[in-house]
Amino acid sequence: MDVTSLLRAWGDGDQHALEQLIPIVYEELRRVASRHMAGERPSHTLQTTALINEAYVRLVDLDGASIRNRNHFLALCAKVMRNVLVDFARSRNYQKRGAGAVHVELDEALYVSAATDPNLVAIDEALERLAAVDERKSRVVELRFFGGLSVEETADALEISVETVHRDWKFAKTWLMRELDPNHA
Amino acid sequence: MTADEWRRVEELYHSAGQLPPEERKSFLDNQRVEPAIRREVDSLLRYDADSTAFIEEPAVNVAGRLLAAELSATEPSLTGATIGSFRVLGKLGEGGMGVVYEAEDVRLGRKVALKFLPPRVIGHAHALERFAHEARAASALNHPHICTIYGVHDHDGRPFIEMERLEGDTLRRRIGSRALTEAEATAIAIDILDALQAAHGKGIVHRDLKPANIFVTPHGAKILDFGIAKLDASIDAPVAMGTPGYVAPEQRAGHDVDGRADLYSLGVILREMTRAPALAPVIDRACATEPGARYPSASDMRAAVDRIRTRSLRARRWQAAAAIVVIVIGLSALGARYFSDRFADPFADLQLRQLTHNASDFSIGSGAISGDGRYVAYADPRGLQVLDTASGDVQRVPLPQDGTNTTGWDVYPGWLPDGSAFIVNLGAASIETASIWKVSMPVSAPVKLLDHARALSVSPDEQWIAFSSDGDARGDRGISLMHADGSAIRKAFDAPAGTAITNLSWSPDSTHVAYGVKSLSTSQVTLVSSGLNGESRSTILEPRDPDAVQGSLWLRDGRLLYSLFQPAAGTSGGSTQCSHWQMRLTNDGHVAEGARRLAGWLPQCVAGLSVTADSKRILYLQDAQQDSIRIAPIAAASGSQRVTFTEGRNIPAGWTKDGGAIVFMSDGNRRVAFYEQRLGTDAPLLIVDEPGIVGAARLTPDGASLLYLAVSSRNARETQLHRVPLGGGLSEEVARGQFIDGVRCSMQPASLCLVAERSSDANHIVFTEIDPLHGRGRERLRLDANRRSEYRWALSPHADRIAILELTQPLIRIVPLDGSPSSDIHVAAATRLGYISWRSDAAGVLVPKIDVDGATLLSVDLDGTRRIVWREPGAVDISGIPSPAGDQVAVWIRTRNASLWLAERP
Repeated sequence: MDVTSLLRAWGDGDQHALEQLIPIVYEELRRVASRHMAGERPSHTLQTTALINEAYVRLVDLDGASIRNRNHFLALCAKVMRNVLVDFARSRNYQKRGAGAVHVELDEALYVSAATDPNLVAIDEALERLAAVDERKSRVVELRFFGGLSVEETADALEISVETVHRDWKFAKTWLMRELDPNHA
Repeated sequence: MTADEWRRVEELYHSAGQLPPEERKSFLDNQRVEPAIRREVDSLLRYDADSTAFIEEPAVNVAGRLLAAELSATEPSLTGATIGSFRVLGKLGEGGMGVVYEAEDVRLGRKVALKFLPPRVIGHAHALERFAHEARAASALNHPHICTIYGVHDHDGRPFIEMERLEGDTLRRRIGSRALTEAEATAIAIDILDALQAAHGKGIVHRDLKPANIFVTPHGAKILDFGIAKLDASIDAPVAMGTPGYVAPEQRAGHDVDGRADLYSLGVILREMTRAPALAPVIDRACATEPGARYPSASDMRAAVDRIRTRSLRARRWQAAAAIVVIVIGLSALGARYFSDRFADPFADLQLRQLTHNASDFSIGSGAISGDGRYVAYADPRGLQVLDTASGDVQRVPLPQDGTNTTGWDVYPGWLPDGSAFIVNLGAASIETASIWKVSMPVSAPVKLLDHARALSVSPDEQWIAFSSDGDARGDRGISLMHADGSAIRKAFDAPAGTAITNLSWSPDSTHVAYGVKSLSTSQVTLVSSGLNGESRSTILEPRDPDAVQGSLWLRDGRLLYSLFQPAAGTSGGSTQCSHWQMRLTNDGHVAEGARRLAGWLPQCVAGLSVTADSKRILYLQDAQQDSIRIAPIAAASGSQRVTFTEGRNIPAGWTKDGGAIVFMSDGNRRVAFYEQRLGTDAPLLIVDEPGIVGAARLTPDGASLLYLAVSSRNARETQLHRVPLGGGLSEEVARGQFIDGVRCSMQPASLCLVAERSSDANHIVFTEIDPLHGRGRERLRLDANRRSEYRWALSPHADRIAILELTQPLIRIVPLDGSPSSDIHVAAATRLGYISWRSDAAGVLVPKIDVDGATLLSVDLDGTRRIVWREPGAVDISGIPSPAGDQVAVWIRTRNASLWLAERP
C-alpha cells in the first residue's frame, strides 16, 4: 500500500496503517537529520519548511489529490509526525527543556540549538491538556509545530480563517510556554 | 474554568497584548473582571513577549537535531589512532560527506585535515577515481582561495582525503544566526569568485557550493570539497546531489551544468550572508533561474561585487571622516588632464590607498604629488618629507640650520610641472611670519624665495608662482606674482573690498585665474575668474549658503572642479558631507558648460588635492578619528596609564565588578568587538564578537552582562539594545528604538537600567526602565526637551536621579526620579560638553568640557565645585567612567589625525 492509502486508512481508524506509516515517516526524519548533518543551517525556517514540504511531496502525491483531500492529508501527516516525533524524542530519553546536553562532539550550531530546543514530550503532554479545554487550539499547534504547515495551510486544513489561526497560534504558544515553565505553579 | 471564562481570558489576553506593556494594567483594571480571570490573564501576559519565537521552528527539526547528535555519537571515533603516517589528533567536524579529523603527518611533521568519506562511497571505485582526479585538478590550481588537497588515501577500505589544515571557521558557522556586514560579505564573495574564476577556467565546476564548504580563514575565504558533489552524484540518485537551496535549478533538474551553477549557489549564499541592499541586484542576477540571465562568468560577477565594495569602502571612509574641510589651493599647476574628452564621470571606479599612517601627534598637514606621480611631498610636525611612491622610502628634507623657526611647513603650492622642485610655505598662518621656500630634487635643503608672503599656486606654463603678501587666516586680500626663482615680483590684483581670496588656481593657458571671493562678514564664497591683473572678472558660481564652496580647482582640460559642503542633518560635530561638481570654463574664465555633479567621485570631504600629469592619480588628505583609553586616578591629573594601543575606535563600556579590568569596544582588528583588559596588562581579551555592534555599551548592575546597541537589520534608523553575558554566550535583543546614548544602569545594590528616547513629537525625552532580561518596563521620567538640541545623560549609582545636559549649554540638570524638584549645576563655558557620567560616590559627576584647543574631563560636585581629572590638548572629545571603588576613571579620549590617501584610476 502506498503512503496515500495508508494515511487514508489510518484516518479511517485503521491503527495497523499507522504501524506501517511510522517507518516511512521515520525514514524521512532520518533524511532531514542527515541533511542537518550535511551542514544546513537548522535555524533557517524557509529552508526547513521547504524540507518538510519536500518530505510530504515524497510521502503523498499532493498534486494528485483534491484540495479537500490534500488538506486532510496534511492534517493526517501532522498527526503522524507528532506521533513519530514524540515517540522518537521519548525513546531518546529527551528529558527536559534545556537539558538537551547531548554529550557528543556536535557541530556548534547544532549544539546551541539542542540546548535550547523545546521538549517535544512535554509539549505533547501539554497539548493533550490544551485539547481538553480548547480542541481547535491544540490542532493548530499540531499542524503548525508538528506538521510544519504554514498559517494558510493550517487555516485550510481546519477550515477556519487565517486570522483565527494567528490568534489561536499566538495564544496557544503563550499558554504552552507557561505550561512548560517549571517555575509556573 | 468554564468555556465562557476561557473565552474571556483569551479575549482579554489579545486585547491587552496589543497595548504597550505599561498600558496593560490600567486597561485590565478598567475591565473589572473576576479575580480568577484577571490572575490568569496577568499570568499569561508575563509569557507574552517570550513566546514570540517559541515553537516557531517545526518539531521535525528539533527531532532531526536529536537524531543528528545521535548518529554522530554512534560513529566510532578515530581520535588517537595511527593511520599510515598520520596520527589522528581529534575530530574537527562532520558533514554529509563524512567526518573530518585533525591529524599530524609524522613523516613531514605537518598538521593536516583528514576527511573520511561516508561508508556509502565504498565500492564505487570509478567514481572515487574521477573524484580524486577532479579534487587534485582543483588543488593543482594552487589558488589561495581553494583548499589544497595533498592526497586521497584509503583506510581499511574507507577512502579519505588528506588536505590542508585551515585556521578559522566554516562560513556556515560564521554566519550563525546573524547577517554579516556588507564589507565582510563582499570580501568573502570576492575571494570565492577569484577561486571560481580559476577553477571554471580549467573546466572544474564545484556543484555543491554552500556555507559549510567555505572556510573563512584569517587570510581570506577558501573553498573546500571540489569534486565531492560529482562523486556524490555518481554513486547516488541524482536527487541527492548537491544541497537543496543552494543548487541551481538546472542542476536540480539533472541537466549538465557549467560554472554558472556555482554562481547561482554563491548568490544564495550571499543572500544568506547579508541583507545589505547594495548587494541585492547582484544576488538577484546570480540567482536567476535561467543560466543565461546570470552573470556569464565568475569574473563578471566579481567585477560587479567589487564595484559595490569600492563604493561602500568610500562610504565608510566618508562616515569616518568628520568635519573635514576641503582646502584646494593652487593645483592646476601640473597638467591635470582629468577629463579625457566627454562628460563621462572621470572619477568613477577610483581605487583608494592610504599612503601614510600616522599617530595623532604626527598628523599630516598637507601633501602634494609630483607630475609623474613618483614623489609625494608632505609636511608633518617633524618637518618636510618626500615619499617615493615606487619604493615606499621616505626622505626627510634637511631643514635650514640658520636659526629659522622651522615649524609649520605646508606644501600646498605643490610641485613645479617639470618635477624639479616643489614650493613650500613656512609659518603661513599669518602673513607676518610667512615665507616662501623652494625644495629642489634630489631632496635638498629648502631655499627661501620671499619673506612675509605665502605661495598659492604655480602656473601650468611654469612662469609664475601666485602668492599673497596681504591677508590673514580668513583669506588673502592681495595677489602677487613672481617667477619660480623669486624674481620679477609684481602685484596682480586686490580682493574686492570686504572680501578675501581663497583657492586660487590657473587656467590651462596660464592667462587667467579662478578663485573664491569670500565675504568677510557673511563667509559666503562666490567663485569668480579674472585675468592676471584682476581685469574681466566673471562670476562662475554664487551659492546660497555660507561656507558652501569648500574648494575649487581649474584643470588643464578646461574643467573646474569644486566641492560643496553639506553639514550632515541631525548631527552636531558629527560627520559632514561634501558633494563634488564640475563645469567647463573657457580659457578666459567663462562658463562653457554648466555644473554637473560627480556622483562616483570621492564621497567624503577631502583636503589638499593634487593630481599627477597622467591624470591617473589624485592625492588628498583625510582626517581620521583616533580613540584611546587611559586609566587616571580621579584625584590628581597625573600618573595615567594608557590601556588601548590600537588605532581606530576604542570606547570604554565599564569596569568589571572587581575593578580590576575594563571592558571596551574596539575596531582595532578591523571589526567592531568588545574586549576585556586587566589593568597593568596590554593584552585585551576578546569577549563579544558579533556583527552589527554600534556601541554605547554599559554593564548591567550585577556586572554579569553587557548591554550595547546594535544595528537593526530591518530598520537602519532603529537600533537594538542587545544583552550578552560577559562570561560568554549569545547576544539577545532586549529592546529596540532610537535611544539617546544607549542604556545607563545604576550600581549595586540598586539594580535599575534606563533608556532615553524622544517622544514622538520630539518635545520630550522619555526615560523607560529596561530589564536586561525582559526588556522594556515602565516609564520613569519625562522631561521637556529642546527639539534641536542634543542631550547627554546619566543615571546615578543609587538609581534615584539622573543628570542631563544639553551639549551646548554650560549647565547640568540633576533630576530626581521620585518627582522632587530638580537642581542645576553650572559648568564653566565651553564650546560644548559631552558624555556625562556619575561618580561612584554619587556626590558628583564627570563631565567633559570641549574647547578648540583640547578636551578636559571635569569632576563636578553637586555643589558646583570643579576639579580637573584629565586634560588632553588637541583632543576633540573626552569622557570618563569611574571604577566601582570610585578612585579611578577610565578616560576616553578622541583625537583626530590626518593622513594622505591616493585615489588611483586602474
